[in-house]
Amino acid sequence: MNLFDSVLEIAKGGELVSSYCEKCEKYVWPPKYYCNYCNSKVLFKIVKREGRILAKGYSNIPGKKGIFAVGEFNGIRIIGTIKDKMMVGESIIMQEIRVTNGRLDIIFVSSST
Amino acid sequence: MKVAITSSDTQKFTKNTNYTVSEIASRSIVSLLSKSKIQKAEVDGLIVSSNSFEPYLSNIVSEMVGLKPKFSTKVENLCNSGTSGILLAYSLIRSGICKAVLVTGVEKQDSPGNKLIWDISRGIYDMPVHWASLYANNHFQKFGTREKDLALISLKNHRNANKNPNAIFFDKTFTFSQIIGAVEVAAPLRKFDCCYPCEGVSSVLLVSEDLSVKFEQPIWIVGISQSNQGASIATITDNLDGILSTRIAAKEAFRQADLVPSDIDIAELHDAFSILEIIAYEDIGFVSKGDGKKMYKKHRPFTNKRGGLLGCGHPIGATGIDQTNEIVLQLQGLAGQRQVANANIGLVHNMAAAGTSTTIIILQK
Ligand SMILES: [Zn+2]
Repeated sequence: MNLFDSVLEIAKGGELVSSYCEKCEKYVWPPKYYCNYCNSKVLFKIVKREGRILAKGYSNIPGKKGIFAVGEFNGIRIIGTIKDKMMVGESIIMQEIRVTNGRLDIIFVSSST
Repeated sequence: MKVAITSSDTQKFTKNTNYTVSEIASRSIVSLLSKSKIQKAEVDGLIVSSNSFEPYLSNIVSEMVGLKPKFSTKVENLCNSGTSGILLAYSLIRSGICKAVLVTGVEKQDSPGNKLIWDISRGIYDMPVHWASLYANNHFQKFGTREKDLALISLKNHRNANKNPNAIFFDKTFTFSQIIGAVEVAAPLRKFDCCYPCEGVSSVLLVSEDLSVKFEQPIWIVGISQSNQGASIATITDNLDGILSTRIAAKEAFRQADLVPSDIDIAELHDAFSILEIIAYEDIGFVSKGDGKKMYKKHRPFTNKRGGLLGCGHPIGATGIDQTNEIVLQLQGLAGQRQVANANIGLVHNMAAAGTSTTIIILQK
Protein backbone atom coordinates (compact mmCIF):
# COMPACT_ATOMS: atom_id res chain seq x y z
CA MET A 1 0.00 0.00 0.00
CA ASN A 2 1.37 3.45 -0.88
CA LEU A 3 1.72 6.29 1.61
CA PHE A 4 -1.44 8.15 0.70
CA ASP A 5 -3.55 4.99 0.68
CA SER A 6 -2.21 4.20 4.15
CA VAL A 7 -3.19 7.66 5.40
CA LEU A 8 -6.68 7.25 3.92
CA GLU A 9 -7.06 3.75 5.38
CA ILE A 10 -6.20 5.05 8.86
CA ALA A 11 -8.47 8.09 8.35
CA LYS A 12 -11.39 5.69 7.74
CA GLY A 13 -10.86 4.69 11.38
CA GLY A 14 -11.12 8.34 12.46
CA GLU A 15 -7.46 9.30 12.96
CA LEU A 16 -5.18 11.54 10.92
CA VAL A 17 -1.59 10.38 10.65
CA SER A 18 1.38 12.05 9.01
CA SER A 19 5.04 11.18 8.58
CA TYR A 20 7.09 12.27 11.61
CA CYS A 21 10.84 12.65 12.00
CA GLU A 22 12.01 11.55 15.47
CA LYS A 23 15.36 13.24 14.97
CA CYS A 24 13.98 16.67 13.96
CA GLU A 25 10.85 16.25 16.09
CA LYS A 26 8.83 17.53 13.14
CA TYR A 27 5.86 16.33 11.13
CA VAL A 28 6.54 15.90 7.42
CA TRP A 29 3.43 16.57 5.36
CA PRO A 30 2.12 15.61 2.82
CA PRO A 31 3.33 12.16 3.94
CA LYS A 32 6.77 11.06 2.75
CA TYR A 33 9.23 8.24 3.36
CA TYR A 34 12.11 10.57 4.21
CA CYS A 35 12.40 13.71 6.31
CA ASN A 36 12.51 16.91 4.23
CA TYR A 37 15.00 18.41 6.68
CA CYS A 38 17.50 15.64 7.54
CA ASN A 39 16.68 12.81 5.06
CA SER A 40 16.12 10.31 7.91
CA LYS A 41 13.50 7.62 7.44
CA VAL A 42 10.24 8.80 8.96
CA LEU A 43 7.35 6.95 10.57
CA PHE A 44 3.64 7.61 10.85
CA LYS A 45 2.47 9.45 13.93
CA ILE A 46 -1.03 10.55 14.90
CA VAL A 47 -1.56 14.28 14.37
CA LYS A 48 -2.85 16.11 17.46
CA ARG A 49 -6.33 17.46 16.91
CA GLU A 50 -5.77 20.96 18.28
CA GLY A 51 -4.86 23.66 15.77
CA ARG A 52 -5.86 27.00 14.31
CA ILE A 53 -7.35 28.46 11.16
CA LEU A 54 -4.88 29.99 8.70
CA ALA A 55 -7.26 30.86 5.85
CA LYS A 56 -10.90 30.52 4.86
CA GLY A 57 -12.68 29.77 1.58
CA TYR A 58 -16.14 29.05 0.22
CA SER A 59 -17.32 26.41 -2.22
CA ASN A 60 -20.54 26.39 -4.17
CA ILE A 61 -19.50 23.46 -6.35
CA PRO A 62 -22.10 20.69 -6.47
CA GLY A 63 -21.00 17.77 -4.31
CA LYS A 64 -18.35 19.95 -2.62
CA LYS A 65 -20.47 22.73 -1.11
CA GLY A 66 -19.33 24.25 2.13
CA ILE A 67 -17.18 26.68 4.00
CA PHE A 68 -13.66 25.40 4.30
CA ALA A 69 -10.42 26.42 5.93
CA VAL A 70 -6.75 25.68 5.94
CA GLY A 71 -6.11 24.36 9.42
CA GLU A 72 -2.62 24.11 10.92
CA PHE A 73 -1.96 21.26 13.35
CA ASN A 74 1.56 20.81 14.77
CA GLY A 75 2.95 22.49 11.66
CA ILE A 76 0.96 20.43 9.14
CA ARG A 77 -1.56 22.27 7.00
CA ILE A 78 -4.69 20.65 5.66
CA ILE A 79 -8.06 21.75 4.32
CA GLY A 80 -11.26 20.83 6.16
CA THR A 81 -14.89 21.91 6.46
CA ILE A 82 -15.80 24.55 9.07
CA LYS A 83 -18.85 26.19 10.60
CA ASP A 84 -19.65 29.72 9.38
CA LYS A 85 -18.89 31.87 12.41
CA MET A 86 -15.29 30.77 12.75
CA MET A 87 -12.56 33.31 11.97
CA VAL A 88 -9.00 33.19 10.68
CA GLY A 89 -6.67 32.78 13.64
CA GLU A 90 -9.29 31.01 15.76
CA SER A 91 -8.34 27.85 17.66
CA ILE A 92 -9.97 24.71 16.27
CA ILE A 93 -10.09 20.99 16.75
CA MET A 94 -10.52 18.22 14.22
CA GLN A 95 -13.90 16.94 15.34
CA GLU A 96 -14.31 14.27 12.71
CA ILE A 97 -11.86 12.57 10.34
CA ARG A 98 -13.27 10.46 7.55
CA VAL A 99 -12.85 9.64 3.86
CA THR A 100 -15.38 10.72 1.20
CA ASN A 101 -14.98 9.70 -2.45
CA GLY A 102 -11.37 8.78 -1.79
CA ARG A 103 -10.48 12.17 -0.30
CA LEU A 104 -9.71 13.16 3.29
CA ASP A 105 -12.87 14.77 4.67
CA ILE A 106 -12.19 16.52 7.97
CA ILE A 107 -14.59 18.60 10.06
CA PHE A 108 -13.11 21.51 12.02
CA VAL A 109 -14.99 23.00 14.99
CA SER A 110 -14.16 25.85 17.32
CA SER A 111 -12.20 24.63 20.34
CA SER A 112 -14.35 26.86 22.58
CA THR A 113 -17.57 24.90 21.85
CA MET B 1 25.03 33.43 -27.17
CA LYS B 2 21.78 35.43 -27.19
CA VAL B 3 18.46 33.69 -27.91
CA ALA B 4 15.64 35.19 -29.94
CA ILE B 5 12.05 34.30 -30.68
CA THR B 6 11.44 34.94 -34.36
CA SER B 7 8.20 33.24 -35.33
CA SER B 8 4.96 32.22 -33.70
CA ASP B 9 1.62 30.64 -34.41
CA THR B 10 -1.62 30.11 -32.52
CA GLN B 11 -4.70 28.30 -33.79
CA LYS B 12 -8.19 29.18 -32.60
CA PHE B 13 -8.97 27.83 -29.12
CA THR B 14 -12.05 25.57 -29.13
CA LYS B 15 -14.14 23.15 -27.13
CA ASN B 16 -13.18 19.49 -27.48
CA THR B 17 -12.85 18.18 -31.04
CA ASN B 18 -12.18 14.68 -32.38
CA TYR B 19 -8.57 15.55 -33.28
CA THR B 20 -5.75 13.92 -31.31
CA VAL B 21 -3.08 16.00 -29.56
CA SER B 22 -0.51 15.14 -32.25
CA GLU B 23 -2.92 16.17 -35.02
CA ILE B 24 -3.64 19.47 -33.28
CA ALA B 25 0.08 20.10 -32.70
CA SER B 26 0.91 19.38 -36.37
CA ARG B 27 -1.57 22.01 -37.55
CA SER B 28 0.20 24.77 -35.67
CA ILE B 29 3.74 23.62 -36.55
CA VAL B 30 2.96 23.44 -40.28
CA SER B 31 1.34 26.87 -40.08
CA LEU B 32 4.41 28.33 -38.33
CA LEU B 33 6.83 26.72 -40.81
CA SER B 34 4.87 28.08 -43.76
CA LYS B 35 5.00 31.63 -42.37
CA SER B 36 8.64 31.55 -41.23
CA LYS B 37 11.95 31.75 -43.07
CA ILE B 38 13.22 28.72 -41.15
CA GLN B 39 13.90 25.60 -43.21
CA LYS B 40 12.77 22.22 -41.85
CA ALA B 41 16.35 20.92 -41.93
CA GLU B 42 17.41 23.82 -39.70
CA VAL B 43 15.00 22.91 -36.88
CA ASP B 44 17.21 20.83 -34.60
CA GLY B 45 14.96 20.81 -31.52
CA LEU B 46 11.26 20.07 -30.95
CA ILE B 47 9.64 20.39 -27.56
CA VAL B 48 5.97 19.57 -27.08
CA SER B 49 4.39 21.07 -23.98
CA SER B 50 1.32 19.13 -22.89
CA ASN B 51 -0.41 17.38 -19.99
CA SER B 52 -1.48 14.63 -22.38
CA PHE B 53 -0.64 11.04 -21.35
CA GLU B 54 0.19 10.13 -24.98
CA PRO B 55 3.60 8.37 -24.83
CA TYR B 56 6.39 9.44 -27.20
CA LEU B 57 4.31 12.46 -28.16
CA SER B 58 7.11 14.72 -29.40
CA ASN B 59 8.50 12.05 -31.70
CA ILE B 60 5.04 11.29 -33.07
CA VAL B 61 4.63 14.99 -33.78
CA SER B 62 8.13 15.14 -35.34
CA GLU B 63 7.20 12.33 -37.71
CA MET B 64 3.81 13.85 -38.55
CA VAL B 65 5.37 17.15 -39.64
CA GLY B 66 8.52 15.65 -41.17
CA LEU B 67 11.14 16.89 -38.70
CA LYS B 68 14.22 14.94 -37.62
CA PRO B 69 15.52 17.07 -34.76
CA LYS B 70 18.68 16.46 -32.77
CA PHE B 71 16.66 16.72 -29.56
CA SER B 72 12.97 16.14 -28.92
CA THR B 73 10.86 15.61 -25.82
CA LYS B 74 7.56 16.34 -24.14
CA VAL B 75 7.48 18.78 -21.23
CA GLU B 76 4.74 18.56 -18.60
CA ASN B 77 4.59 21.00 -15.72
CA LEU B 78 0.82 21.43 -15.29
CA CYS B 79 -0.31 25.00 -16.19
CA ASN B 80 3.35 26.08 -16.19
CA SER B 81 4.23 23.62 -19.00
CA GLY B 82 4.44 26.11 -21.87
CA THR B 83 7.07 28.41 -20.43
CA SER B 84 8.91 25.39 -19.00
CA GLY B 85 9.25 24.23 -22.62
CA ILE B 86 10.52 27.68 -23.61
CA LEU B 87 13.04 27.67 -20.75
CA LEU B 88 14.31 24.26 -21.92
CA ALA B 89 14.54 25.44 -25.55
CA TYR B 90 16.41 28.55 -24.40
CA SER B 91 18.87 26.40 -22.45
CA LEU B 92 19.47 24.09 -25.43
CA ILE B 93 20.40 27.08 -27.57
CA ARG B 94 22.45 28.83 -24.89
CA SER B 95 24.44 25.63 -24.37
CA GLY B 96 25.16 25.31 -28.08
CA ILE B 97 23.40 21.95 -28.37
CA CYS B 98 20.72 23.35 -30.71
CA LYS B 99 20.33 26.39 -32.93
CA ALA B 100 16.61 26.39 -33.75
CA VAL B 101 14.06 24.91 -31.36
CA LEU B 102 10.32 24.74 -31.97
CA VAL B 103 8.14 24.70 -28.85
CA THR B 104 4.55 23.64 -29.36
CA GLY B 105 2.01 23.69 -26.55
CA VAL B 106 -1.05 21.56 -27.08
CA GLU B 107 -3.98 20.46 -24.92
CA LYS B 108 -7.35 18.73 -25.14
CA GLN B 109 -10.25 20.20 -23.17
CA ASP B 110 -10.55 17.11 -20.98
CA SER B 111 -6.85 17.19 -20.09
CA PRO B 112 -5.64 15.20 -17.07
CA GLY B 113 -3.92 18.46 -16.04
CA ASN B 114 -7.19 20.13 -15.07
CA LYS B 115 -6.87 18.92 -11.47
CA LEU B 116 -3.94 17.91 -9.25
CA ILE B 117 -5.17 14.60 -7.81
CA TRP B 118 -1.92 13.99 -5.92
CA ASP B 119 -2.42 16.72 -3.30
CA ILE B 120 -3.95 14.87 -0.36
CA SER B 121 -3.85 18.03 1.79
CA ARG B 122 -6.65 19.64 -0.23
CA GLY B 123 -9.18 17.23 1.27
CA ILE B 124 -12.52 17.30 -0.56
CA TYR B 125 -11.89 20.90 -1.73
CA ASP B 126 -9.60 19.75 -4.50
CA MET B 127 -10.50 21.98 -7.45
CA PRO B 128 -8.24 24.87 -8.53
CA VAL B 129 -11.02 27.35 -7.71
CA HIS B 130 -10.82 26.29 -4.07
CA TRP B 131 -7.26 27.49 -3.54
CA ALA B 132 -8.12 30.60 -5.56
CA SER B 133 -10.96 31.25 -3.09
CA LEU B 134 -8.45 31.06 -0.21
CA TYR B 135 -6.19 33.64 -1.89
CA ALA B 136 -9.16 35.92 -2.64
CA ASN B 137 -10.64 35.81 0.87
CA ASN B 138 -7.25 36.54 2.36
CA HIS B 139 -6.70 39.48 -0.01
CA PHE B 140 -10.16 40.88 0.73
CA GLN B 141 -9.63 40.66 4.47
CA LYS B 142 -6.05 41.96 4.61
CA PHE B 143 -5.91 44.49 1.80
CA GLY B 144 -9.53 45.57 1.30
CA THR B 145 -9.84 44.19 -2.23
CA ARG B 146 -13.50 43.91 -3.25
CA GLU B 147 -15.68 42.03 -5.72
CA LYS B 148 -15.76 45.14 -7.90
CA ASP B 149 -11.97 44.94 -8.28
CA LEU B 150 -12.20 41.33 -9.46
CA ALA B 151 -15.02 42.14 -11.87
CA LEU B 152 -12.96 44.97 -13.43
CA ILE B 153 -10.13 42.51 -14.19
CA SER B 154 -12.54 40.05 -15.76
CA LEU B 155 -14.26 42.80 -17.77
CA LYS B 156 -10.92 44.14 -19.09
CA ASN B 157 -9.67 40.72 -20.14
CA HIS B 158 -12.94 39.66 -21.75
CA ARG B 159 -13.01 42.97 -23.69
CA ASN B 160 -9.43 42.41 -24.81
CA ALA B 161 -10.43 38.93 -26.01
CA ASN B 162 -13.00 40.56 -28.29
CA LYS B 163 -10.02 41.73 -30.36
CA ASN B 164 -8.34 38.30 -30.46
CA PRO B 165 -9.89 35.96 -33.04
CA ASN B 166 -8.11 32.94 -31.44
CA ALA B 167 -9.79 33.54 -28.07
CA ILE B 168 -12.64 31.23 -27.13
CA PHE B 169 -14.68 34.29 -26.02
CA PHE B 170 -13.75 36.36 -29.12
CA ASP B 171 -17.36 36.91 -30.12
CA LYS B 172 -18.93 36.92 -26.63
CA THR B 173 -19.46 40.25 -24.91
CA PHE B 174 -20.12 40.68 -21.21
CA THR B 175 -21.18 43.71 -19.20
CA PHE B 176 -19.89 44.68 -15.77
CA SER B 177 -23.24 43.79 -14.22
CA GLN B 178 -23.28 40.37 -15.92
CA ILE B 179 -19.84 39.65 -14.50
CA ILE B 180 -20.47 40.88 -10.96
CA GLY B 181 -23.92 39.28 -10.92
CA ALA B 182 -22.83 35.89 -12.28
CA VAL B 183 -23.31 32.69 -10.32
CA GLU B 184 -20.96 32.23 -7.37
CA VAL B 185 -18.52 29.35 -7.80
CA ALA B 186 -16.30 29.72 -4.73
CA ALA B 187 -16.92 33.04 -3.02
CA PRO B 188 -15.91 35.69 -3.74
CA LEU B 189 -15.14 34.15 -7.14
CA ARG B 190 -17.98 34.06 -9.63
CA LYS B 191 -18.30 32.35 -13.00
CA PHE B 192 -16.37 34.95 -15.03
CA ASP B 193 -13.62 35.22 -12.42
CA CYS B 194 -12.63 31.68 -13.46
CA CYS B 195 -10.91 30.62 -16.67
CA TYR B 196 -12.45 28.05 -18.97
CA PRO B 197 -10.37 24.94 -19.74
CA CYS B 198 -10.37 24.39 -23.51
CA GLU B 199 -8.60 22.79 -26.45
CA GLY B 200 -5.80 24.73 -28.09
CA VAL B 201 -2.38 24.85 -29.67
CA SER B 202 0.30 27.49 -29.91
CA SER B 203 3.92 27.41 -31.16
CA VAL B 204 7.07 29.51 -31.00
CA LEU B 205 10.45 29.26 -32.70
CA LEU B 206 13.57 30.08 -30.69
CA VAL B 207 16.83 30.59 -32.57
CA SER B 208 20.47 31.32 -31.81
CA GLU B 209 21.98 34.77 -32.37
CA ASP B 210 23.85 33.70 -35.54
CA LEU B 211 20.73 32.18 -37.08
CA SER B 212 18.61 35.20 -36.10
CA VAL B 213 20.12 37.41 -38.84
CA LYS B 214 17.88 35.85 -41.48
CA PHE B 215 14.74 36.97 -39.62
CA GLU B 216 13.32 40.47 -39.83
CA GLN B 217 12.22 41.09 -36.25
CA PRO B 218 13.95 38.85 -33.72
CA ILE B 219 12.64 39.42 -30.20
CA TRP B 220 15.29 38.74 -27.57
CA ILE B 221 14.84 36.77 -24.38
CA VAL B 222 16.68 39.04 -21.92
CA GLY B 223 15.48 37.40 -18.72
CA ILE B 224 14.04 33.95 -18.00
CA SER B 225 13.62 32.30 -14.63
CA GLN B 226 11.52 29.74 -12.82
CA SER B 227 10.86 28.96 -9.16
CA ASN B 228 9.39 25.72 -7.81
CA GLN B 229 8.18 25.60 -4.21
CA GLY B 230 6.65 22.12 -4.09
CA ALA B 231 3.29 20.76 -5.19
CA SER B 232 0.88 20.78 -2.29
CA ILE B 233 -1.33 23.49 -0.88
CA ALA B 234 0.31 22.66 2.46
CA THR B 235 3.65 24.08 1.31
CA ILE B 236 2.36 27.55 0.40
CA THR B 237 -0.47 28.26 2.83
CA ASP B 238 1.71 29.67 5.60
CA ASN B 239 1.35 32.96 3.72
CA LEU B 240 -1.39 33.64 1.16
CA ASP B 241 -0.61 37.37 0.85
CA GLY B 242 1.39 36.66 -2.26
CA ILE B 243 2.93 33.95 -4.40
CA LEU B 244 6.52 33.25 -3.41
CA SER B 245 7.45 31.44 -6.65
CA THR B 246 6.38 34.52 -8.63
CA ARG B 247 8.39 36.88 -6.45
CA ILE B 248 11.54 34.73 -6.73
CA ALA B 249 11.25 34.13 -10.50
CA ALA B 250 10.48 37.80 -11.24
CA LYS B 251 13.38 39.07 -9.15
CA GLU B 252 15.82 36.78 -10.94
CA ALA B 253 14.45 37.57 -14.42
CA PHE B 254 14.72 41.33 -13.78
CA ARG B 255 18.28 40.82 -12.49
CA GLN B 256 19.27 38.94 -15.66
CA ALA B 257 17.69 41.61 -17.84
CA ASP B 258 19.11 44.48 -15.76
CA LEU B 259 15.62 45.99 -15.79
CA VAL B 260 13.02 46.99 -13.20
CA PRO B 261 9.22 46.50 -13.23
CA SER B 262 8.61 50.09 -14.39
CA ASP B 263 10.55 49.30 -17.60
CA ILE B 264 7.84 46.85 -18.71
CA ASP B 265 5.52 48.18 -21.44
CA ILE B 266 3.24 45.16 -21.73
CA ALA B 267 2.66 42.01 -19.68
CA GLU B 268 0.78 38.74 -20.07
CA LEU B 269 -0.27 37.56 -16.61
CA HIS B 270 -1.55 34.17 -15.49
CA ASP B 271 -5.16 35.14 -14.67
CA ALA B 272 -6.51 31.61 -14.24
CA PHE B 273 -8.67 33.43 -11.67
CA SER B 274 -9.17 37.21 -11.56
CA ILE B 275 -7.63 37.48 -8.08
CA LEU B 276 -4.38 35.99 -9.41
CA GLU B 277 -3.89 38.91 -11.78
CA ILE B 278 -4.18 41.33 -8.85
CA ILE B 279 -1.67 39.29 -6.82
CA ALA B 280 0.67 39.03 -9.84
CA TYR B 281 0.76 42.84 -10.20
CA GLU B 282 2.04 42.99 -6.63
CA ASP B 283 4.48 40.07 -6.70
CA ILE B 284 6.08 41.09 -10.01
CA GLY B 285 6.48 44.57 -8.55
CA PHE B 286 4.26 46.78 -10.73
CA VAL B 287 2.60 48.01 -7.49
CA SER B 288 3.21 47.56 -3.76
CA LYS B 289 1.75 44.62 -1.84
CA GLY B 290 -1.97 45.18 -1.33
CA ASP B 291 -2.27 47.77 -4.11
CA GLY B 292 -3.09 45.38 -6.98
CA LYS B 293 -6.60 46.81 -7.18
CA LYS B 294 -5.14 50.24 -8.08
CA MET B 295 -3.36 48.99 -11.21
CA TYR B 296 -6.21 49.94 -13.53
CA LYS B 297 -5.41 53.60 -12.84
CA LYS B 298 -1.91 53.20 -14.28
CA HIS B 299 -1.21 53.71 -18.00
CA ARG B 300 1.59 51.15 -18.12
CA PRO B 301 2.14 48.30 -18.44
CA PHE B 302 -0.66 47.14 -20.68
CA THR B 303 -1.94 43.86 -19.28
CA ASN B 304 -3.38 40.75 -20.89
CA LYS B 305 -4.09 42.39 -24.25
CA ARG B 306 -4.45 38.84 -25.63
CA GLY B 307 -7.49 38.44 -23.38
CA GLY B 308 -5.72 36.53 -20.63
CA LEU B 309 -6.74 33.04 -19.60
CA LEU B 310 -10.14 34.51 -18.64
CA GLY B 311 -10.89 35.71 -22.16
CA CYS B 312 -8.90 33.25 -24.28
CA GLY B 313 -9.69 30.03 -22.42
CA HIS B 314 -6.98 27.87 -20.86
CA PRO B 315 -5.57 25.01 -22.97
CA ILE B 316 -3.13 24.15 -20.19
CA GLY B 317 0.05 23.18 -22.05
CA ALA B 318 -0.54 25.84 -24.72
CA THR B 319 -1.25 28.80 -22.44
CA GLY B 320 2.34 29.80 -21.63
CA ILE B 321 3.25 29.58 -25.33
CA ASP B 322 0.35 31.77 -26.43
CA GLN B 323 1.13 34.30 -23.67
CA THR B 324 4.69 34.48 -25.02
CA ASN B 325 3.43 34.75 -28.62
CA GLU B 326 1.31 37.74 -27.68
CA ILE B 327 4.31 39.62 -26.28
CA VAL B 328 6.38 38.66 -29.36
CA LEU B 329 3.65 39.94 -31.73
CA GLN B 330 3.22 43.15 -29.72
CA LEU B 331 6.97 43.86 -29.76
CA GLN B 332 7.10 43.04 -33.49
CA GLY B 333 4.20 45.41 -34.12
CA LEU B 334 2.14 42.57 -35.57
CA ALA B 335 -0.65 42.34 -32.99
CA GLY B 336 -3.31 43.72 -35.33
CA GLN B 337 -6.20 45.48 -33.65
CA ARG B 338 -4.73 44.64 -30.23
CA GLN B 339 -1.47 46.44 -31.01
CA VAL B 340 -0.30 48.87 -28.32
CA ALA B 341 1.90 51.89 -29.06
CA ASN B 342 5.63 52.03 -28.26
CA ALA B 343 6.03 48.51 -26.89
CA ASN B 344 9.73 47.71 -26.48
CA ILE B 345 9.88 45.45 -23.44
CA GLY B 346 7.36 42.79 -22.42
CA LEU B 347 6.91 40.24 -19.65
CA VAL B 348 5.28 36.81 -19.44
CA HIS B 349 4.01 35.38 -16.14
CA ASN B 350 2.96 31.72 -16.22
CA MET B 351 2.31 29.56 -13.16
CA ALA B 352 0.83 26.32 -11.85
CA ALA B 353 -0.95 24.59 -8.98
CA ALA B 354 -1.87 27.24 -6.41
CA GLY B 355 1.23 29.21 -7.34
CA THR B 356 3.64 26.47 -6.26
CA SER B 357 5.63 27.19 -9.45
CA THR B 358 6.07 30.24 -11.68
CA THR B 359 8.05 31.12 -14.80
CA ILE B 360 8.84 34.73 -15.76
CA ILE B 361 10.17 35.66 -19.21
CA ILE B 362 11.28 39.17 -20.16
CA LEU B 363 11.44 39.95 -23.88
CA GLN B 364 12.96 42.92 -25.64
CA LYS B 365 12.91 44.26 -29.20
ZN1 LIG C 1 14.46 15.01 10.17
